[in-house]
Amino acid sequence: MTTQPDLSQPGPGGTRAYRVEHRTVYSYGAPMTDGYTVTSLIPRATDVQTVIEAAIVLDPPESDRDAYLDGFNNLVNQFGVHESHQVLTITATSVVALRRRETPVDNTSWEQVAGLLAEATGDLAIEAGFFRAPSPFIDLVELGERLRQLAAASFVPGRPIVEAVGALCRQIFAEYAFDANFSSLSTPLGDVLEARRGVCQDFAHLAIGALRSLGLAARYVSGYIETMPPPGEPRLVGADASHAWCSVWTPLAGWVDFDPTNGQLPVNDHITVAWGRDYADVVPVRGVMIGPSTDQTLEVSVDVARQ
Amino acid sequence: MTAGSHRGHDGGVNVTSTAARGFGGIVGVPADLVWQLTDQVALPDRQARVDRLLAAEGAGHLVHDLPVRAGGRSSGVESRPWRLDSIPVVLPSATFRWLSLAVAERMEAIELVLADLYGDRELVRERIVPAEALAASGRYRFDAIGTAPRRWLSTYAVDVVLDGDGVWRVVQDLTDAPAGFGYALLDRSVLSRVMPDVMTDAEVASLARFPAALGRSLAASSPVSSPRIVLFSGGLDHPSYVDHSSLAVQLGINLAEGADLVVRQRRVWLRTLDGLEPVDVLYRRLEDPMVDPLTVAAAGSAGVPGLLQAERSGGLTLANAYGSGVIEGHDLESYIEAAIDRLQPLEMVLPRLGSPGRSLAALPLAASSVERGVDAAPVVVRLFAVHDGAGVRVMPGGIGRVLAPGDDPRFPSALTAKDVWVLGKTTAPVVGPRLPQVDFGRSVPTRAADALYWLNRSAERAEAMARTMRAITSREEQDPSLTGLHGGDWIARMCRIAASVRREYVVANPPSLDSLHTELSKVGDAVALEVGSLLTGATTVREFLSTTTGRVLVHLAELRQSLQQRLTVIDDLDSVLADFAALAGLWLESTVRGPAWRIGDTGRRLERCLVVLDLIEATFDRPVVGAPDRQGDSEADDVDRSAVEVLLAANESLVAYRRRHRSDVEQDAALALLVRDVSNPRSLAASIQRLAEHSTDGEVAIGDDFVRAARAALALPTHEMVPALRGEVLAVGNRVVRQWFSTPVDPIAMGIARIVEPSP
Repeated sequence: MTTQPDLSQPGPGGTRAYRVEHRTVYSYGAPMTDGYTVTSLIPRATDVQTVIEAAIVLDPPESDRDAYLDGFNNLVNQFGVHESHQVLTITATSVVALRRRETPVDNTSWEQVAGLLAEATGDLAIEAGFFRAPSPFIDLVELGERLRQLAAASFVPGRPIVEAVGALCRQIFAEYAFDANFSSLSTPLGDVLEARRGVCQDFAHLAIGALRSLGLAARYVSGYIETMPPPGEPRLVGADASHAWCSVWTPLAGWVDFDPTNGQLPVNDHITVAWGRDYADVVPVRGVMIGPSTDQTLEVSVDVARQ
Repeated sequence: MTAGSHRGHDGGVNVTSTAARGFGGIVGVPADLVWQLTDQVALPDRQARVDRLLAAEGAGHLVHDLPVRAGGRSSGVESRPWRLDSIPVVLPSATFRWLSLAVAERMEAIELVLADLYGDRELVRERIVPAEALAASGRYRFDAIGTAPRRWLSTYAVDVVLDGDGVWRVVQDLTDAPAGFGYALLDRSVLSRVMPDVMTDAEVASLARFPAALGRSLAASSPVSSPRIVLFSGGLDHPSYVDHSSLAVQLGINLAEGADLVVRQRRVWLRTLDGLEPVDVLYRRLEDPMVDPLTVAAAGSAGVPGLLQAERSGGLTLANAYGSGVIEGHDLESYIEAAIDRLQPLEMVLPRLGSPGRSLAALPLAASSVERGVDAAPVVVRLFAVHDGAGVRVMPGGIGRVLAPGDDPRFPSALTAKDVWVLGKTTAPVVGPRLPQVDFGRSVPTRAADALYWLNRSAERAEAMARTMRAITSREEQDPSLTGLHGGDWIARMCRIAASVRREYVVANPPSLDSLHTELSKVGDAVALEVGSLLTGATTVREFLSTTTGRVLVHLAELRQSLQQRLTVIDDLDSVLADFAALAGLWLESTVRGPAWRIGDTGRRLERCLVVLDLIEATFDRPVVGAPDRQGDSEADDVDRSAVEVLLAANESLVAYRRRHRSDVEQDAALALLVRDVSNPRSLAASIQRLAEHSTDGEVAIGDDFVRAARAALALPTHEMVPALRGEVLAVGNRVVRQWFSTPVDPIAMGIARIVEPSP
């Protein structure tokens, strides 16, 4: 177990603590007899993140609860609710301590990185290999050429990997418009490429696809980010949301996170929950229900508060 | 035999001349056997018998063109009947011995590959199977990483072909849910009846012991000592449903669909009439995206939620284990071969077929099996193996599928199958521990109960409709003067009766001979529809019905065609009625008296009550409009008499009436026979008596209250009795359905949230 840091004082090196509450509410057209859910809601420990407490509470309470590590070592919680319910509420609360990330330094050229990965053996083959291939939301076969074109502006020959990734991140931030009304979960990545608009999840998939099209290893990171209210306005509780960004493998700096939605490399306001090949591997809450009605509404509220 | 070779138009298979190489390129088949099998004189008759028997044995696959299934759900599967060639693929004992050793060795090597790919992943670390290729294949299951099942493969199948150089080559490995065990047994049972002598003389190895070996393998996959095994099928809509149901019958195990199974506390349970019963092994015949909607790779909401967690925590054995399908990844072929070489180099190598264009040996075909003028074609042979805990057993047989020119050998387009004969008593008798015995007579999955209940109701209603149709038609034929009686009153009465038996209580058209014929043809359509739901229901519960019942159902399926083409020919109706009588007789005499039987019988008796009530009501409901004053009118009396005769005939009570009364039919006596006479098995009183007997059995929802109320209703005057009793019967019918069948419902996918954190 890790030693619990003292949260009352700003930690050394800019350590911050956050409390995250992530509430998911399903309302159905009629009482349901069973609900089965799989959740990816508990933050995992990382080099810069310590999980101090974490809990998931269901209403109505579950009859079956299982926890296991998935193929990428994320903690998955699975629930079976077997009492009649017309509303299912899943509330995940966690407190994490974030250390300030150091500025990544790796001047290896991106072509060299791709070359290393193509011949990787040992643990690296497992750690990086699965993140170089097409995945459910990222169709490299269909989009490979267009993604390579997207990447070409930032990935000029011989450019150091971290610098190139930073450039791609800023490029997507500059060229793509945030538009919550444009895309849905079923919008193909090709449409996002075409229209140059979407949400963070789309931008993460886009950046990952661009990197994989070059032979680099990129993974999807699911988590939260602290948002600040406009100057002079109070912070609204529950107005935050889940966030998604990317991580790319480099030989010297390891996995380097970057956030194309915000055009930046995370410093100390990105809370990591889980990572996978894309959104499909780390959906915060998914499942099936059994009952007489297919009508359902889903409401999600997230609150990220600095401790 | 075709000389020369032809090239597939898509760069597909080539066929070389094989006339000089013995039996289609397989060396060592005795000349006299070849002569017997290809005897041009015997072939046409033999093929005709094969076609007929396959239709009879594979009742289920005929049913695939049916519009509805029990409970009114539509079935979206098109019929894909296959044809069995009367000339088998013959493998001499030496050939099979070599093949079986190679297959056994291959299965064991693949087992090691799977264990590594989901365990230590040394193959990935050494880049023998690159992680990128695994991920891109779409068949590698990330949620199976770290699971350590007792065995990955309990069953295994491999498709092989003989090439033009006499080398057997692997077309594909089948490791996910290998299909065809059931078909192989089915094909063999057909050929063994068509050519028993040929088979005995040639000493063809028997498949009779293989189902037991498969059963032992499934049992061995579980740590439980006497595991409860259930076959997990996609149900009637699955393209291989016939394979599933015939195998469930052979293994003597329950067949379950997703909604029949439920996960609680990391265990899987089967919903039965006695409540939830634990399941230890699921013999899954479904590809892995269909087993659990909570897996990442799940295809929609199909399957049993939580199944994989039950497997992961040791409460359930899935055979084959979740994730085994990765071996089938088409783009992984060369990596899997390299992995086998790395982990366990094979001594008996079955090389891959590899790139298209390789020439294949053509095997002889019965004339016109595939297309006119072709009498030989390459055949893909599927061999089956199981691992019973001690070692691999390879089935001494298999299924052959004929390739058409240009076919990808993995997907033969010609739906022609061949049995595979292994000559000589090559395989040692399989000995081993006896299979655990479970009393399946007592366990009735609720879905099966549902189907049994409705199929019996359909049978009863269809029988009454056909008999009513016959009674009216024969009277019209024998005495055409009836149609003019009493200002068309006879026609009006018959229209009313014909409509009521198909649950239509208002007749709109003015009485005319045309409208009567229209009514009768509507009854014919309704019979065809009920026969359809009956057959669909029967197909889903084959394991509860006798083989003979299957034959009768096939015959009914054929008659159903003629029923839909306005059937008024009495011979056809008699033939349908004979089938219904046979079904009812088999139900009574050849079905084990247990919960399954009681549920079906309850459905039958409830429907019989409703039929009698509908017909009594229609018979005595005289149209008022246009009917002249009846007093002393002999024509009106003739119409009444005829109507009562039809009522009795429709309820198969006319003969009983005549034996008893030896006079013209008379209304009160007829009613007495149909309502209160317990000695008449068609009477309301007799049906209620039978329902009363069922009410003493625990699982049945018919209580004493119903019996009391029904008997009280019987004592009422007819016009009050009919609505009172009908109300009781409908209410108890609803109660039965609600109590027994309401639980299984397919899961519905919950929505998932998009990640939309706005940019600051």
